[in-house]
Amino acid sequence: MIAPDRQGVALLCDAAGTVRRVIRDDLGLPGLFVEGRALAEAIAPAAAGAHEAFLKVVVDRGAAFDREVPVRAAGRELTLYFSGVAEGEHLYVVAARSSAGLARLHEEMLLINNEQTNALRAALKELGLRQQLDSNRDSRLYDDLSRLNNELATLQREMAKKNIELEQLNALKNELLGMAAHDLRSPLGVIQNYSDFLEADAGPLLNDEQRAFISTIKRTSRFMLGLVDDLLDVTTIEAGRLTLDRQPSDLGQLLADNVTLSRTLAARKDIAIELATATGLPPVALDPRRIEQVLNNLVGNAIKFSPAGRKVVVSAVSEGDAVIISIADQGPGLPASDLPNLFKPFARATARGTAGEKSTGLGLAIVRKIVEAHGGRIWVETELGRGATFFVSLPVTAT
Amino acid sequence: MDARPVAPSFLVPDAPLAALTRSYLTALLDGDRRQASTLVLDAVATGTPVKDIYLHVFQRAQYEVGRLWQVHDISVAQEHYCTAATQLIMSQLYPHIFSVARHEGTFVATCVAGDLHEIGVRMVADFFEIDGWNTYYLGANTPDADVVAALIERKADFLGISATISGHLRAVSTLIKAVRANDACRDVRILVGGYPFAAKPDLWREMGADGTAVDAQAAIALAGELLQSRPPS
Repeated sequence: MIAPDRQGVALLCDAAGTVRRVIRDDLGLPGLFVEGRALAEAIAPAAAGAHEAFLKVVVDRGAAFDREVPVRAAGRELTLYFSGVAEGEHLYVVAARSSAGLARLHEEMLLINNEQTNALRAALKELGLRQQLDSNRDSRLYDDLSRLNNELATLQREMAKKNIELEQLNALKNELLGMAAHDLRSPLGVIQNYSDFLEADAGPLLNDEQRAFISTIKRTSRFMLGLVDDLLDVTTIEAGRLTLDRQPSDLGQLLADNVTLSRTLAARKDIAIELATATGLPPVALDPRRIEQVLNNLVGNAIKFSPAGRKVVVSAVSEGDAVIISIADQGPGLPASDLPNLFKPFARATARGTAGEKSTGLGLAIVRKIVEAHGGRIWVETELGRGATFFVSLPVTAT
Repeated sequence: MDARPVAPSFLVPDAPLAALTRSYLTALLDGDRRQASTLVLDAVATGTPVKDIYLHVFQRAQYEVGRLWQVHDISVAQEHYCTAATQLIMSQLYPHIFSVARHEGTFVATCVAGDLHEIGVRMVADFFEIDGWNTYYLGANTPDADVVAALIERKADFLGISATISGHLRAVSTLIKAVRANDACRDVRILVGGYPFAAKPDLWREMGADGTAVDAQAAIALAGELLQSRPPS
């Protein structure tokens, strides 16, 4: 432990007065002189002027000795005696608790002049080296950043290429599907027509079983034709060729007409359809043929999945700049696991037609495309065991 | 550091697209990559072929950036920035490059481990793509075994290897040996490029490659020739 009257501090500062190196500090005042901090921060506020004057003399005249300057340490003020010497671009500053202590510091410095000078030289050299190291580290940082950037650029190239290949594949798929569907229609038409002829011409000559065969042929080929039409629809829509013929339409009337037609189908299963459209619905810009397709599908589904004796409610209300149609059934409802893929083509749904009706798996996908082409939205609210309500929101004006 | 002769400016006034190149480089050196991007995208939108942008704007600007850094006119930070910005702007042109129909062979390009200067060889790969080749670019950190696997999987006709400094040559040699050692890709033609190969014209032969080219255009011409002279398999 150094005696208080021998305690001192030796600092290397830059011309601006920032401490660059604490060469020696046995004052026992931790945190007072810190590398990277301005020396002025250690000085008691009232003495700021005196400190500035001291630095100025050192810089201008090369040296200043025995200046009394209070410092502020741990909330207390303490007087220190400073000397300073300018060495190139740096200031060598020493301070002690008393003038006598400072004088002894000077003596010591003279005696071990070489050591301090060497220390000074070493301090300067290390400072220069530190700057070089900083610059090297920066250079390495730039390189690392560049490497990251390179890797990202490479990934991006791969992704861009894959994306375009996928688009091309998709277009090709649509083309192939479209071609296949077209090619399937004529043979199916032949099967349907000829089974009709057979039934009409030979019906009376056949037994019950044979008549049932023809009925099955007709029903199955009708189903296949429906599937082919749906496939054609999907490829048309996917290829962006869906054109809408929008006219301001009376949605209330459209729904009423559809319900009337659907009642025939519903009656076969003893299902009632209730119409509850609000009055005063604004005319909606829509393609009547395509929206009919949507209604046919949704109402048809409601009937398909409802057990006998239940009710389907079709309603429409105005909300803001849209009209919201809802079709609610009292069927089995949909499990949550079906919902994410419900509107995707060929999604596997749990529900089965209550009268054995088949699904092509494309209906809802097409419905969604049509609704979205109108700038609208479709969604479902459902609970297992409590039925399902499909909502279609259509903007009043074409977007 | 390899000694390279200091070239005069690459921004030659009567070069094609000289004005665009100068504006492009000025924007980048000002740290304004959005302006640089707008300049290029506008040029492409008004009909400038992407190939010309690569050849005259990007390539020339990159050479000039390298030269400016060499003569200490710009800092390492600026040099890295210009390269990164150009890579980003190149990626904005990908939709124009990858939609071209493929009628040539398959070209896989890579540079060796530790090489920072990927932009040059990536430009070569893009150039091949524009010309109707099916190209795959593998980054500098791709292990040799993965390069070989890619050559086999993609049924590549050519492998392009880039090296910027002579310190990278050993890695080039190792990679070439790895490719030749595997029967499944033994027939792949190997092209090498980069400063060490430009400085020593016969180095490619010593290293066991099939040829070298100084830039993208020369590389395509060479690949075409080699493809023609391929013996029937």
